[in-house]
Amino acid sequence: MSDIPLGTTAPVAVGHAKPSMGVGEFLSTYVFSRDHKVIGIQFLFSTLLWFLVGGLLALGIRWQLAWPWSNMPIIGRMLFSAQGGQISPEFYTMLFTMHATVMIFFVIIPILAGAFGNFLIPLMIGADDMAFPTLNMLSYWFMWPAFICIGLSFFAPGNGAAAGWTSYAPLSAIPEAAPSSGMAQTLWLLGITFVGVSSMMGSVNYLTTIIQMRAPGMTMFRLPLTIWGMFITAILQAFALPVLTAAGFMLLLDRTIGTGFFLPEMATANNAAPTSGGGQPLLWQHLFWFYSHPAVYIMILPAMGMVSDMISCFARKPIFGYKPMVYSMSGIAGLGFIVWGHHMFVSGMNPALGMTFMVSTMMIALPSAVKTFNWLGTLWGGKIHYTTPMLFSIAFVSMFVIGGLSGIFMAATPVDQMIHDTYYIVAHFHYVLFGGTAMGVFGAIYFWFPKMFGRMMNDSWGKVHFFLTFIFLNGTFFTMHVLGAVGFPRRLADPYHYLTFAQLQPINQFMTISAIGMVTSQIIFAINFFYSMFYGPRVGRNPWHANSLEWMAPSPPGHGNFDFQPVVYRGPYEYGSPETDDDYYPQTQPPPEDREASSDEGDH
Amino acid sequence: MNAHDVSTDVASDAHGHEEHGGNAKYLAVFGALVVLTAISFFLANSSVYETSPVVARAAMLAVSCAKALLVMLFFMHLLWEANWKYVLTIPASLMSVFLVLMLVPDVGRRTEKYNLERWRHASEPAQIQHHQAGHGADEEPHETPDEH
Amino acid sequence: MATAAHEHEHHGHIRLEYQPALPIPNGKVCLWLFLSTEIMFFAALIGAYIVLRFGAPAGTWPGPHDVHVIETVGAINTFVLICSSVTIVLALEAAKQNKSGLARMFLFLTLALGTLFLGIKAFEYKSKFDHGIYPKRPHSLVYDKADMYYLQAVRQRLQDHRASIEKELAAKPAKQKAEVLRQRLDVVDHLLTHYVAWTERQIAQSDDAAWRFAQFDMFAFYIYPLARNAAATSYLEEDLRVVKEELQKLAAPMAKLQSEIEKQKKEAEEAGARVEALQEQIEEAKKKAGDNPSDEQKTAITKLEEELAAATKQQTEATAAMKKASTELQGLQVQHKAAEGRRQLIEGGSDSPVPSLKSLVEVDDSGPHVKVHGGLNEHFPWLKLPIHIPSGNMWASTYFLLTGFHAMHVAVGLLVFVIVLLTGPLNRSRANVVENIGLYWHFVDLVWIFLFPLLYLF
Ligand code: HEM
Ligand SMILES: [Cu+2]
Repeated sequence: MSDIPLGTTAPVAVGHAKPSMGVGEFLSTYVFSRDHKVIGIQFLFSTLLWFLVGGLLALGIRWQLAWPWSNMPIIGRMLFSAQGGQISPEFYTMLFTMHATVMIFFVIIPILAGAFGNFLIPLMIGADDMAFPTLNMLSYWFMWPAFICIGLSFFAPGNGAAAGWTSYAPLSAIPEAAPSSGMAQTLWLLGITFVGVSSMMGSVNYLTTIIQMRAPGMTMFRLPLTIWGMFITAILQAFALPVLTAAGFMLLLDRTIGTGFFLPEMATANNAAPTSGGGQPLLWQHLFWFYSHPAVYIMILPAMGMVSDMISCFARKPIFGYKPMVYSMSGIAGLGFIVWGHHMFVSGMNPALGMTFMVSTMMIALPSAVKTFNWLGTLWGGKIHYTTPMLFSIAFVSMFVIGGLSGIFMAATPVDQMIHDTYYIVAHFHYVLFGGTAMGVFGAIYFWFPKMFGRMMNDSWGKVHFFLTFIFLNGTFFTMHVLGAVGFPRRLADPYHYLTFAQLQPINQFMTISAIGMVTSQIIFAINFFYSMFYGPRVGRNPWHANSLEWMAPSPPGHGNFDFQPVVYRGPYEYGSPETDDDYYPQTQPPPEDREASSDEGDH
Repeated sequence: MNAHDVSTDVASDAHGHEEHGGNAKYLAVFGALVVLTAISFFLANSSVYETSPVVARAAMLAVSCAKALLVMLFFMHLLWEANWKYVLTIPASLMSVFLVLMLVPDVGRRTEKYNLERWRHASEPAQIQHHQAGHGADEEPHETPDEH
Repeated sequence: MATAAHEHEHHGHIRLEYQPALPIPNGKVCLWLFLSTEIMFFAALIGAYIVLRFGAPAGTWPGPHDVHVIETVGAINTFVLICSSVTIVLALEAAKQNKSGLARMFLFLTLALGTLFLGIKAFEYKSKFDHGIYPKRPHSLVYDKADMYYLQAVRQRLQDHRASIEKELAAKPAKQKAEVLRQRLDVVDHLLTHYVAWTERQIAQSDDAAWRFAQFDMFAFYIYPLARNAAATSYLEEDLRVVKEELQKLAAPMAKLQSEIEKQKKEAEEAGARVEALQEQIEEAKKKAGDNPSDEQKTAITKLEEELAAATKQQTEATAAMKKASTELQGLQVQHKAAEGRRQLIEGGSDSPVPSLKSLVEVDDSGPHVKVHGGLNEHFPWLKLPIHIPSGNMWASTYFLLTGFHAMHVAVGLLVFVIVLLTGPLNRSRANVVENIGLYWHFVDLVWIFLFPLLYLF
């Protein structure tokens, strides 16, 4: 931050916090608000809270893997008094199921689309709000039944759903199959359905807003890549999510009224009456992954967009290959719909499909590589400012490379047959999800915090947070590649039961210590976040000297966002343009009198 | 289809809404829908269905597609909309067809992978022929129950 | 590109200008987006149906009549929906022309037609429910396969009936009711012995797998005759032949045993008479001989006693033989009674309280088509025995899934119609509302256009 002086373009317009406020007004301003910024921040707080829950669940998993069957410190006695403070195998299964569920459905997806999507879309395209503010509010409030269902699931018999976040049938379809296959699983399904409804409402709203409510001059190819990321994510959600919703309903019916979509004939468990069946467990896997593979892109495309914006801003250079960036995102999205079978290579799926899915999966590496090289091209020769958001963004790129490369290994059917369901997979998705998305999100929080709250976060502490997180992250997850390569299985409470793996316990202890370090480092972030909300230095409209529209609005923007009619003359990446003396060239700044506005279809 | 498609001018929305639509046209479409429904109904009860059900089913689906097109083009006014109609309808339709196609090898032909144990519990059509094979040759063999 | 006038800073909220990509209102964009998500939703449901249906074991998927689906009713419902599609576009046209009254009338008509659709749907559902066709945990009445599980389920059901009837009878109900209950008990008992137990024995005794299959099929056919399983009745003749053979086979030994019994009885009686005579003679001889019998007398008595022993032995032997024969006969008689009961179950007869199997089928001259009359469940609606429909559970699963979600969409549409009708006139300013609900309604119609052939005609 020291590199860039605080913007002083306009006086700070503080929109809210009037001295006297009735209860009704308070509710309509902060609770049942229809303002996209408030809704975005509501999403942000809710998801950060769940991030904490998910992190604690992860520590539970790590504890068991490092010191299996030893008494858990502090909370062990409380939770497992029956076993004398020791975790049970069923509880372990619940832990990884709920960890993944919380992280995916309550953290990553809603923080990207819900928090940043909501906050940024209208601001970045020059709109005063979403197209349908009430629908937007509902999309937040539909998360609450989901929160409640999943929360209640922890208290149902079995202490929470434990069929994996993938909920494969028949374990998830026969309520008697395991202690937690009963009510806990039903609540889990209901929760996921509510998340689906919420996302659905959000995505049609985002799409309408982006299509219809761009400021004059803001053509599609002048949109910041963040918006492109959100746009394509919304499309993915709109097309993929209904399939999961349908499958979820079918599973719910299998469980409750005894249909047989996902159940073979005479399947039975724990002396339950045999099912009539006639269905196929593989059908669930197909429908689930038809959504959930596109969903992994839902979990990264917005982050890719935000990282592109941050990298361009802090390299003080136009993004390298704007249009290829857009096309590669579209390519990833399109291909993302035809690769779901790579999760099913060892499921007994028809081998002919395996071949198809292997080839299409490998093709996804191409657009991914295009993006990576474009980021590198943007950095190349740039005047790089190593601010906290920039550090996180660079980390995003490097971590994504590692995760993407391991993805290509797994895409090869014969290789995947060896490493499927090992820690190699766990390493892969943690590199893309934590190393990638979470790092991008941290960067985005540091980057847009001034716009959200009108104050700056502390950059030095931000860097401490970054370096600790980055080191511990690699300490935790890189070693997983090693474990996976020798076959260390995932989703097993005590792999050391097999002598082959017994020697791997020290590595696991190392990982657990790293994980504890990683979670602990987040305390720095939390303190920085809340302290800065109230005591951080105030900023003007454009502290980073960035180009896109949100930086032209007051910090924080008042109701209606803009105090002027934004008109867009160029794309958002005109850093170091010869047309101006500044090294940035806001989208709204009229061109000098003697020149025409740069042509609309962006000649980047 | 129409030149004004490229225009993003909102005002073009208003262009002669009266000229398309038209109640006579709607009634004609209505008539066509009724006739098409009748066609598929009679197809199902005709000898075509008895002799080659696959042909009859394909024909019925074609009739359904025709009906769907009529409804979309006229009742949903897609005939008069700009190019966005393709963006919103075609990808979704392609994707749904793709989804179903990819389900065929695993689910649509799942009985190919049934093991003996599963067959033992799977539903079977009446096994008349088995019986005849085992018992008296005095009865003439019955035809396989028609696959409905 | 459009460059709008620079509006100058207001304080508070200024009205921003936009550059929409599509020449249609936002609401309509949103609705169309929503509809494309709905396409995917129904694609998943219908796709699952298609692959499950055509992937079912060959030849098992129930035809419409096997599960009380009536094509004509479906066609009528299709017609109703088409009509409602027309009325709603007419409502839109009227609204566009600012004829609010007309528009409201057409919208109301659409509402009425939609309600009619749901009513017919409810009627259709009821006909399935009445026959016990619905998915239910752990088992509805529908069994995919006629096998030992099925047979046991039927037995269980009959025994449950028996227990509950006896309990009711024990409570001394009114005379009329008691009469009904006793009749039911008779039916249940008859079915348990001549239907369930008979089949069980046939299956247990035969090592011919095909014959066992045949028995299961016929067993199931009796309860819920499927038209296309009518071929199962070809076993009837076979079964009848077996039964009659058994009856015949029993006849000779039974007659033989009967005469054996007669013979032995006679013999025993004769021997008995002789025993009595001899006893008298011995008595007399002993009296005559007094206290000091001569040697001659002694030998005579000994001789008589020997004779008596022989006669007694003969009597006991004859009696034993008679007893043995009659036990044997009793055994045969039980078998005979079972066979005879079975014969009557097949052919009908005076002692049988249940309809005969043969009465279920009526071969008509036109060819192999078989007319099927209602089975046991139809005859005795209170029985509610498990029924065998191949792939029936999956049929019910998919049928109720597809029609259920479609019906829910219809219901939502109707709800919105009501709200729109209640919230004011439908003049030009609200034409876009009518247009949007119309688009939704047409989509619901579109889904039905595909469901109708898939569910009713395929
Ligand atoms: C270069 C692009 C990528 C390729 C080729 C790829 C390939 C794969 C393959 C083949 C698997 C299945 C491994 C197995 O279960 O045996 C997998 C799993 C997974 N991938 Fe990726 N992936 C890529 C990028 C991503 C991204 C960007 C994300 C998320 C942001 C992601 C998230 C996941 C997750 C969560 C799983 C594990 C699912 C589970 O089984 O629980 N992947 N990936
Ligand atoms: Cu994947």
